[in-house]
Amino acid sequence: MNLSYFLILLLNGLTFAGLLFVVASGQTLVYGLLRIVNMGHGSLYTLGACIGYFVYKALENNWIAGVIAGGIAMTIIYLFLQWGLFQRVMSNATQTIMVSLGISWIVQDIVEGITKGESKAFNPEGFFRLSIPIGNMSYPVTRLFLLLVAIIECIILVLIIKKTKIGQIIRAGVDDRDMVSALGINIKAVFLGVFAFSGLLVGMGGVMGGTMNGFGHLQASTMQMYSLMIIIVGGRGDILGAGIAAVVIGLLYSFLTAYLTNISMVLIFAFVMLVMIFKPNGLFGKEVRRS
Amino acid sequence: MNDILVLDNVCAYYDELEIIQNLSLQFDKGIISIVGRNGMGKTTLMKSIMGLVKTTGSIKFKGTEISNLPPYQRAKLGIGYVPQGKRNFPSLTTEEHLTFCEKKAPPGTPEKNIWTIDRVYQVFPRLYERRNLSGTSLSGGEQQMLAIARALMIQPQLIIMDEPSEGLAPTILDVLVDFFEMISTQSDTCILLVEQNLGFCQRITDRTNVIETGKIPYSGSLKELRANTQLSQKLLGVG
Amino acid sequence: MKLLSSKKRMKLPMQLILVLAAIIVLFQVPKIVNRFSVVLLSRILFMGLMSMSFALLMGCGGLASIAQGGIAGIAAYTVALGRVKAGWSYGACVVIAIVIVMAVSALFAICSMRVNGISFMMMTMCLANLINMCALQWVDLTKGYNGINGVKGPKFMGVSYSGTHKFYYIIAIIFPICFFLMKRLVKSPYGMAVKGMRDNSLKMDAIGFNTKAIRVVLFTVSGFFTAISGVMLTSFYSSMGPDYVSSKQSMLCLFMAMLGGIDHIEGALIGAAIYILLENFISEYTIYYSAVLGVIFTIVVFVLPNGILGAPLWKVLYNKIKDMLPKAKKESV
Repeated sequence: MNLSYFLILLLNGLTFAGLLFVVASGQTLVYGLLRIVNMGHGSLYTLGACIGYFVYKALENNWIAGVIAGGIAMTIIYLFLQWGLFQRVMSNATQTIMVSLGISWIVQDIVEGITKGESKAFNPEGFFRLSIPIGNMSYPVTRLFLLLVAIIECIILVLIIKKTKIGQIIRAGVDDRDMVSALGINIKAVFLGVFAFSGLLVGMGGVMGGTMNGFGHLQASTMQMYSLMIIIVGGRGDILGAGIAAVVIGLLYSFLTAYLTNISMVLIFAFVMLVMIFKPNGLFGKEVRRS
Repeated sequence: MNDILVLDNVCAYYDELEIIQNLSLQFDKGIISIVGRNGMGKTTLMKSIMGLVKTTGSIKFKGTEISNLPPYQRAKLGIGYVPQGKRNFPSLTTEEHLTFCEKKAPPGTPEKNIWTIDRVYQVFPRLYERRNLSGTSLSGGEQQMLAIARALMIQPQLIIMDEPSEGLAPTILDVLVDFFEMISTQSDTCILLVEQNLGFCQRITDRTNVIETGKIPYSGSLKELRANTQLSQKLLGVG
Repeated sequence: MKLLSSKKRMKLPMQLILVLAAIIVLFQVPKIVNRFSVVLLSRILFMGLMSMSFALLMGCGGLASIAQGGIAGIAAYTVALGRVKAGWSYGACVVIAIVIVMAVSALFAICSMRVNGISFMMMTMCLANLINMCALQWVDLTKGYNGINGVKGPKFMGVSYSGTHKFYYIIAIIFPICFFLMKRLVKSPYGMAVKGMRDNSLKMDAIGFNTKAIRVVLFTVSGFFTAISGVMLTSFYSSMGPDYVSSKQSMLCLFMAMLGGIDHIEGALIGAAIYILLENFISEYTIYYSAVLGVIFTIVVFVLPNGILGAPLWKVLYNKIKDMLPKAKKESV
């Protein structure tokens, strides 16, 4: 096996890990703090890609504008979803799952409807059209950009959570949100902020990931599944854990698909199941506090 | 007027079970205690004041009606909560417990009522020594101190404490008694103390209310109550 | 004083008569309505059974499994392969299918012993996807995406009960029996033990119940009913493919059961009926029926947080209906 092929596989794994991290990091904070399992996250990912796609087209294949537009649009949509919907059903886990399932059906059909007849392929202009040569192959800049965004996001998030007051509030909230409320902190506003932030991530991730892999029904359910896997394997509310889980799963995916194509997914599922059997709270698990 | 806390005809529910039944209580200032057997509604009363359970009836804090406010707004108005079981945060260090909810005292607040981190560390030096450890890796007594310190950081005018002596060794209880002594002489902060340990309670305040099945049948001197064996047998199950 | 006798309960002979009555009524249905309605009813019955087996795990045991579709799929593929590739008799196929599924369920229960809540749901999702992958990619065994065709039903007295038309009658017999068995299980002391385990397994352990064994048995029993629904599915459609037991189907089981109300096992059946009827009705008007269903159900879930049978109005009606049914005289204390 030559070096450049190995490098390509490594980069594929890392960029895929980057995508998974961007999409799942928001989810893990939401699950840790709000205790919401958003079953619509995958569909909303495709919606983000969709909105980004139309902006990108309208602005003559401006890819970065698409990414930003997707992010902003989904932030607003998520803000409304939390404020209008999830806030009211948060305390009932059954209701939350049902509502998010309903949302996922609605969004899937919306995406289906507005992208009818579209090619749904991103062909960016300008800088992002380039590919970096690696050995005798070349690697798209868009994918490397995604990896860069993921790394920067990870660093920023870890710093915020470890060093800032809002980070302390989030950590305390993941432990015991009623107590945080009883200490004078408007936890509802924090919830809104965190949920909207997960929207920002899903929107940007949608466009970047949509460039890599497309954004249809299949991608919706796949991203939903991977998000959940990363939350569970990484530990709820744990950003670093999510990062490590993303890297492991991303690399596994890339290398297994290359060498053991037929059973690659089976092995990944088996891996996740094994983690859950031996470490039910994730690789770096926290005990769930029953409030 | 302007009693620190007035409860009028308050009922509290868990689903459809009525725990507190038409309870009325007037607390003007200083330190008072609420005593009673297990299951009589002491913790529910605390949670009602804080807004953590559904209630009907009127709850007035310094003259302001708070029964329709969410917990965080009640805390912002000046109620500090030290819950049963301490409920410290495993994901925060000792010092972070104090910084994350720190509130600036409003301008014009007398010095004796302002709580800074430094003042808190002066009162509880053990917390300073352990300031970089996780909040839940401290000993039981230290955790209780941390829970109290945490509540102080929001500049409360009223602290409600639910069974602080639970599970603590006598030496730590001495520290707590000193703390209450300091509070009552050196600041205007009022304290509502829920306790099962009558001896400990007596060292802190003589003013007590007995809670029984969600009502208050006795309000007055703890010393006299304890001396009256018949009454204390009936209401407290001891004596 | 027996705790259970203080409630009014139907006596066993009464229940058996009701089961028989249900079978007879179901048999009459094809004479009254058109063929397509019979197909709908069949789907309601076997999807209802799949959802009810989910409700057994969730309502009784507090374990949300989104692998029902996959597990039913194992049974379905076993029957399909057994009938088409190996040419075994129907009875043999069914027995083998049920045994395999119960073994897999028990094994899964042992593996997932310490796992609860969302992690558990995730594990079942992995299991379901694993099964789906096998169905798609193990082409030698399952013929992959094309699936298996020509699955014949059982033969009684020279008549082959295959296909949507004839197999309905088999469903009409098996379903009421399964329903009856499930209800008795839920109301039995074992059912109560399971609920106790769900609520506080530490306490249950402390008072001498073997929660580990209870949990494994629960999975196995739920697997039994899931297997039957899978057998029904493939016999009804006379074919089997990965689509029939995709993760969407498993999610639907969860959805139907929760829609009907998790606290009562019959809620799953009601949820299944409502979903299938609505889906059929709405898809005649628009291809975006998923979105319409999503809107309707989101609103319903808002209004009825505990499902349809959990709604206060229904609770009152339900209890009234139960009181009206003939009961045994109250046993003396």
